[in-house]
Amino acid sequence: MNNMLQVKGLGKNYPTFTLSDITFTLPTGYVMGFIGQNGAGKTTTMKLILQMVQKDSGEVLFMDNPVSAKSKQQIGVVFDSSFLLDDWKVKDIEGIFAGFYQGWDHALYQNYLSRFGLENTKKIKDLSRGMKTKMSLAVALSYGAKLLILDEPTSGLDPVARDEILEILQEYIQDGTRSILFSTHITSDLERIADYITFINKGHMVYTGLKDELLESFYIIKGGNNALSGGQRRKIIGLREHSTGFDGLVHAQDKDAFAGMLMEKPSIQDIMVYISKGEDAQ
Amino acid sequence: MSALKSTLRLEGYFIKPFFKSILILLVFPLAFAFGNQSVSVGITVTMGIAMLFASYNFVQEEKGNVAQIFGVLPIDEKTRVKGRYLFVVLAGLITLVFAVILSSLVGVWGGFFAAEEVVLGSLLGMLVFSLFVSIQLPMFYKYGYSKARFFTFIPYILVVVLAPTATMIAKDMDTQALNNWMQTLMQNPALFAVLGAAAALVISLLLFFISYRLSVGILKRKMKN
Repeated sequence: MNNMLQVKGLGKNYPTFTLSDITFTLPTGYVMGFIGQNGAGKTTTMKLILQMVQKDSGEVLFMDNPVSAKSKQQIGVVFDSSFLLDDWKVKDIEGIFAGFYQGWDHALYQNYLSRFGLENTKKIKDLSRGMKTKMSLAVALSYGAKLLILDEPTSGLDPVARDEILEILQEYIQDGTRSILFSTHITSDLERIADYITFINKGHMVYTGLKDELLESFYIIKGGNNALSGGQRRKIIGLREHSTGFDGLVHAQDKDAFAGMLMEKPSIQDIMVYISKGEDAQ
Repeated sequence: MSALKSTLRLEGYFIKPFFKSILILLVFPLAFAFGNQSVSVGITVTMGIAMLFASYNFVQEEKGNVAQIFGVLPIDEKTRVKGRYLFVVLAGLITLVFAVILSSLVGVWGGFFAAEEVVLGSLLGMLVFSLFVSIQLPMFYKYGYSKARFFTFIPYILVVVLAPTATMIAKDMDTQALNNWMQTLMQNPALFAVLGAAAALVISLLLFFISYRLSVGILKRKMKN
């Protein structure tokens, strides 16, 4: 299997934050969800991949080659906030971007504008948040990009707009030659389209691999008060105790230690919350 | 389209929202030309105003997350800076032509047009524009517009402070040789124009080149942080 993106030991030091040893691989033809709390380092990682910030350690390979300015001919990017000037009009955008990309497809771009309902005469500042995201997406999808890097593109969008964008992303990877790296807090979106998950917390790796494997690696345990032994407590991640009982996350290989207690399959959100809480408690 | 041409085009789009206000501002120096009965004053004041416009692209970059556009586009730091410098130089040249034409028209209409003033004003305007903008652009790259805008006024302050000092020093100097040389030039306007243009061009290019190299270095160091 070819790899679209390989991130190896990526690190960056700031005075109050350190990103260390971020390692993951995104195969060609798949979607990777990139999750973590606010401030975990997701956007920093994406900026390091795009060389918007210089890394202190590690390497990033795009289609088996180090990322360069030329690589971005085949990388489409959408950030959570638009990088388009408010005073530009929709009709200005093609004039600005088309010349930079050898693969720019005018007909495809116009098709996306029409599909997204973006009027040429409208100024960027007059577009809603969802329309601005669609505008950025229309640009990113119009020059034959092999990799889409999306930093929380659906945050703040209504369910209909989110559904529309997810549908477009599913169409994008259908041919098997493209990949998507998609950071989001809306984990239900990832449960719908992601094949792989990379989870980081406080600047370090927690998990990277298949989404289904992640979901099968854990169980949520629930029980009454005073039901836990010391050994059992140590096995629980992100233990929450309240007046009516407790709940927490355990590794699948430890579930036999909790026989007789209520077990549930977790969602991606559950795993994220319990693990983050568990690390905060340490 | 080459990356540099596309970057130049992008710079034009950054400043597009200001086009109308720039055109209006550039008309004001004509009043100076008429008031001083001097075409060269009109030209140099126009170029003085043009120096302020060099900051507009940096103003736009600081709005929202617009600067991120350079991280998305397939261009390196050198091309990014080259595009901006090329745009500023071209804008300066266009403004100079605009200033010469309008100030000359005012001069003809007011009855004070003089060809040597056009030459003098153009050369002075080009030199002053080049000097001031060459100092400003690296400052903007280093500190961003919001923090560096104070520095845009330093060249003007320097002129205000140094001009009287230079005049006082010149008064005490033996300027006979210089006077003779200037007289020779003024008696040969064509020679004056050619030599002056050549000198102004070389000095301007040198200033912009040094400034460009500084800006590239500043931007590269900034990316490391």
